[in-house]
Amino acid sequence: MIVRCRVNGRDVEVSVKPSDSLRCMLLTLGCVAVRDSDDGEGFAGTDTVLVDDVPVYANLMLALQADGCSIETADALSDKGNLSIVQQALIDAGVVQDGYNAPQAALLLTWLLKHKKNPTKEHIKEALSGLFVRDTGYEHYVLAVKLACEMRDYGAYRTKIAEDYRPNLSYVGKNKPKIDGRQLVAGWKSYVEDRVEAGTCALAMLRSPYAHAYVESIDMSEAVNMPGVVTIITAFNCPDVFYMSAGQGNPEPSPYDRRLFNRKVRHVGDRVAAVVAESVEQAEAAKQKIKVTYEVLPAIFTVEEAMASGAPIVHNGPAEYLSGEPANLNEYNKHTDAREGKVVYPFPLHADHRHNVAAAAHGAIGNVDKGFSEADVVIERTYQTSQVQCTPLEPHIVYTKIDNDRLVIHASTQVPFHLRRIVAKVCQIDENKIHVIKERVGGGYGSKQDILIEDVAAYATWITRRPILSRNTREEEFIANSTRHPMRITVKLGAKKDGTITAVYMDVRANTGPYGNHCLTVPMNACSKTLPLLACPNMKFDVTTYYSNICPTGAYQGYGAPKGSYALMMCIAELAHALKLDPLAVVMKNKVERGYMLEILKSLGEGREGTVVPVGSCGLTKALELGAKMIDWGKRETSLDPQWKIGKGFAMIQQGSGLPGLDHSTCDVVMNTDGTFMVHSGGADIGTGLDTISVKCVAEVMKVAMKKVSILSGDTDNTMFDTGAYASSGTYFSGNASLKAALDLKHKVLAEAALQLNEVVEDLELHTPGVVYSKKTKSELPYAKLIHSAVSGTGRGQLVGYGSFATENAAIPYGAHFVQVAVHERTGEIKVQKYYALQDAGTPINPELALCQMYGAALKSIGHSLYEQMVLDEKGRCVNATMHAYGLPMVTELPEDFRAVLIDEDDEFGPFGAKSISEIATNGAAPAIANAIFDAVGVWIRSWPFTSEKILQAMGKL
Amino acid sequence: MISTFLQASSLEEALRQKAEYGSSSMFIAGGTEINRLRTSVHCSTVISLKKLGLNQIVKSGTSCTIGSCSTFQSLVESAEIPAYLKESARYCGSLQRRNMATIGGNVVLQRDDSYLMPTLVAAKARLLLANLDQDGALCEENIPIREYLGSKEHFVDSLLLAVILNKPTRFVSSLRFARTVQSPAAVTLALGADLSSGSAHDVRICAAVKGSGLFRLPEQEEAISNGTYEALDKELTFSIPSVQFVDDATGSQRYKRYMLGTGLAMLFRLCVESIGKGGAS
Repeated sequence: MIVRCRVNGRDVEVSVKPSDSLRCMLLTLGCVAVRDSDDGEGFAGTDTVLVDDVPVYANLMLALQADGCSIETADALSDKGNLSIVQQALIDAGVVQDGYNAPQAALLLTWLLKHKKNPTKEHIKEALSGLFVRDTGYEHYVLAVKLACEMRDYGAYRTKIAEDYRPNLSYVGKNKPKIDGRQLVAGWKSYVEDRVEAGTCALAMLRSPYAHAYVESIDMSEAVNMPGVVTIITAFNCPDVFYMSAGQGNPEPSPYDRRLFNRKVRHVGDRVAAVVAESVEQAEAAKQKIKVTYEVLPAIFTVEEAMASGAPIVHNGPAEYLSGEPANLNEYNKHTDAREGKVVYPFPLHADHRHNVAAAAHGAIGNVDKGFSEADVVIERTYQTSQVQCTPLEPHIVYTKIDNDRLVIHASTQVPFHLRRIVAKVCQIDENKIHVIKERVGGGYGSKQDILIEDVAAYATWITRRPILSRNTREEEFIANSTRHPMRITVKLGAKKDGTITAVYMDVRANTGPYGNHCLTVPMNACSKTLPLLACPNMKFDVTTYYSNICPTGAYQGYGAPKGSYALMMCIAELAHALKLDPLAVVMKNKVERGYMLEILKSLGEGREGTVVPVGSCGLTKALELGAKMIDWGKRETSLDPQWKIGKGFAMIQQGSGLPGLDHSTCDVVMNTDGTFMVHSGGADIGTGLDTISVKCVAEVMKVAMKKVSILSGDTDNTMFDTGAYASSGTYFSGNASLKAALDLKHKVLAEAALQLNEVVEDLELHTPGVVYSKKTKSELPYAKLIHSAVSGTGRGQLVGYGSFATENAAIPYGAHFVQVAVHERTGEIKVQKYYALQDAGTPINPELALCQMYGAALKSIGHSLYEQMVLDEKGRCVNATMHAYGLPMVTELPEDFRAVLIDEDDEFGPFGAKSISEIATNGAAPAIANAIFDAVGVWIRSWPFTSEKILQAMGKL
Repeated sequence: MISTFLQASSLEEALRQKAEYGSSSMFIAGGTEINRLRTSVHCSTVISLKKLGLNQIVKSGTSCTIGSCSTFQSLVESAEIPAYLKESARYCGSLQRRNMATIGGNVVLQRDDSYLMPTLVAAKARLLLANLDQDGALCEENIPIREYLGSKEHFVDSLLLAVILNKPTRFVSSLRFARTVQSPAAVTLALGADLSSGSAHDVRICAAVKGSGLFRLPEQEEAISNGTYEALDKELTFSIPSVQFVDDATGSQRYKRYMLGTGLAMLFRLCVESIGKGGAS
């Protein structure tokens, strides 16, 4: 059928099928900015277009419904590379980060300003009500509209976007447009899906309907002969290679407990067969024809079930050790079943997988028994966290192909170098045969630290030599992805009557689900990012992680810290209540200060002994004091409606800045032949502005404008090694590598100039806008002239700076989050009235991006605390695997008064004094809200999410 | 999978097309359900109502006729629509979906988390339906919405033309309980009453409960009408023998029964407080 309509001002006639969506039609017309985040559920808004000047979801509308209409997409907002004022304002306000739906935000706000010249905050919230924003919260979208109005009316911004830091610097600590902002907000080709060429095959994954079963046989005789089918890969024809999906440092602190496909499926949604065919339809059709015979096994879903005597065993194969093999291994490996596969340990993880224990860790300082015996009050409480999902707007996607007889992987990943290593292992080829290109990433949040689809697609391409696109559905994102480990954390605290904490004990029982990726490190993080907040001489922890048959877990922004923070900070509040003391006073009495030796870190390394360091730069006290003042701590608030009870809570928080002793970043900076610069950074910018940080570091050192510096990052052929973007490492590690490379280049430039000018280095310095200045002769040597001489055939060659950064020094970010909630005493409903996030990020290199990341992470963790939860039925099936049903917070859930505040600290180890910013912001909401609920209605909610039903139960009303 | 798209140019043609394609066909207005991932409806033929002019909202005297293809957002923006219905339309939290979803679609679907049906039942709305008679001529039928609620299967071949509100002074209020604005609601509840006599009578209470469907609460309607309902400020847990409550991701059956009972008590409080203050705005 033919659709005649007008698209972005151009009359078109398009042939469509009756079932084609409007988005499908628009893609054929080249409107690439109309993307998809929800498979047509009508939630995320990445597919928003205007039809006859009305915002609608293009995935929910049939193309034929648009016949005769005028359609506008975000693709047309910019004009020949010139951005509109709204697009530019979005970049300047800092909200264009992962950017996957930034074009739609621009479209909606442009539409809003067309109809409301000076919109209120409520108008803006209304316009954004159908747009899901996970990365930056919504607060700065209001700022962006204000900026756009000012630019329209006055030709300049009048509102300050964020504070400036470090007046002696030009770019660092200043609001400067994010360097990839233009391409992202304009909707230009940026992501993996934009790189796919014609003739690419599709990959469809057949997944297990059972939580626990042996795959007895797979009959693919009919499927393999279906039209277009290229290959089908199963447990019976895949490489016999055991590996781990977690993109962690090598050797990984996780067991190698999976192959591409296993004879045993361990969760609903586990891989059974991959069908590669020449079209999506053909792959899906062939998938339906595969006949699988299962032997269904009893399944377990909780820590308690996994711990029980006689429990079904999730991994009951033999163990192998690459180092540290125990003496009784032969005994341990008796009576195993070949269908189970095996579990290979890179080094001992204190596991006992034949009793469902995936990993364990124990540690202590001082004498906790003595500490508890000296206490006037001892309390012990248990807290439970739930399984929540990262929900990046761009689902997992990979495009693999062969070029120059090498495997090329266009990936949406946080860890390009780990991805290369793991794929090399799976495909049993050398790393030099693989080229990983990290494209722009439409949201990661930890889930793209794991190799979840790249392994299968890469192997399929390697054996077939065919290009393949593999993209998770949204349901697959829920059931076959990374999620937060559910944890049961018991905290025991002892204290004197004056609030001095004498002993702390944490018992962490984590549920890793079917596989052990991150099974040691996430649960340990619950301790390692919380216990070092306390200046207590007696601390002990036990961490045990169990296998089960829930959907997979893995890395998620905050890692284990949000769970540990919830348990520890809530228990401190409960302790204060037992002591009849103000919880803020108890925290102030027991928190660490600069210089305090963190002895507990010795036993909190990731599979090795940790390094004891003193507390360095620390804005904790300032954050607590300022936050308390902002929220008027101690003042009892009342509501006009007496049914709404108001309470306040807070939490002190910390995180890390990468993993000292484990992470490593490298970078080089090349001076181009015109005196501009090209940065090659191994770091993986996943939307957070890491590339902008690297460019700022180089521009700052070389005294040139940022536009004179370009960057290529996360490309394994063209940049050097970097462990990747996880554990809050980007700014500290990759940023420091860029800074070191710039300083190295500066040294070389000065040396070269000294030779060319026949002067000594000590008399030379770099000056803006890019010259070597002689203090002695007052002469200037422009970079362009300097480099021209260096590469003109008689010089000493191109100038390249090299930076390699590894360290044992920690740059710990601190903070405090304060919250005020209203709880309805009859319905249990909760409103977050005030949320104040105060954080010490050292020098915020990109202040506006930092603030937006704080808003985004805080709103995300408000979601985890109040709304979000993967619900499994008795058979392990996720019953709410859609964005609607799962409970994601939107602009409508924004706190009424939401503020992010940067506490100014200058760190001695971070690049220009910077520390990490984003992950820590996920640690405050759960304990702060839970404590505020207690303050409001007198009940402790000790499990996520804090639903109205739980509150009513706790209040004795249900 | 939709294999046929028909564009109706008249009511008669739409109904003839429906008769021709039978149960495999559906009328399509906004399409937010038909085109949605995991839709609750399945059809191979859709009949577009776009060109039939069913998107008008017309006030005539005390009656407001809302064309079935009127979108939720047009309800929100229209000066003719009473505040209680605007509020229910806003239960659909997304501007884009409000721009697409129609009042007719919401009535026809009768979802267990319906945004509008409880309110429309409480408002004693009437429905204007079109059919073809035995001679193939167009005939219209004006029925109370409660009849449609109770016997939806009798109207599967009918075309909903309009929803009519003709009780301008009636008190109507609703509550929706969901984790987030966009989450499926565990309970949506509305109460309507005529307060002109100085007390509540002619009461309608309708609930949408996830997993249980849409239903009225006749005992409570009667109790409020005859002045024996006393749960003004109580928390109540309902037990309704005719309704099966279920545990699901929105909440336990116990929670839903509690929210239903307590929500009704809260609505009744509003109702009592509205006596003597006029009706809907």
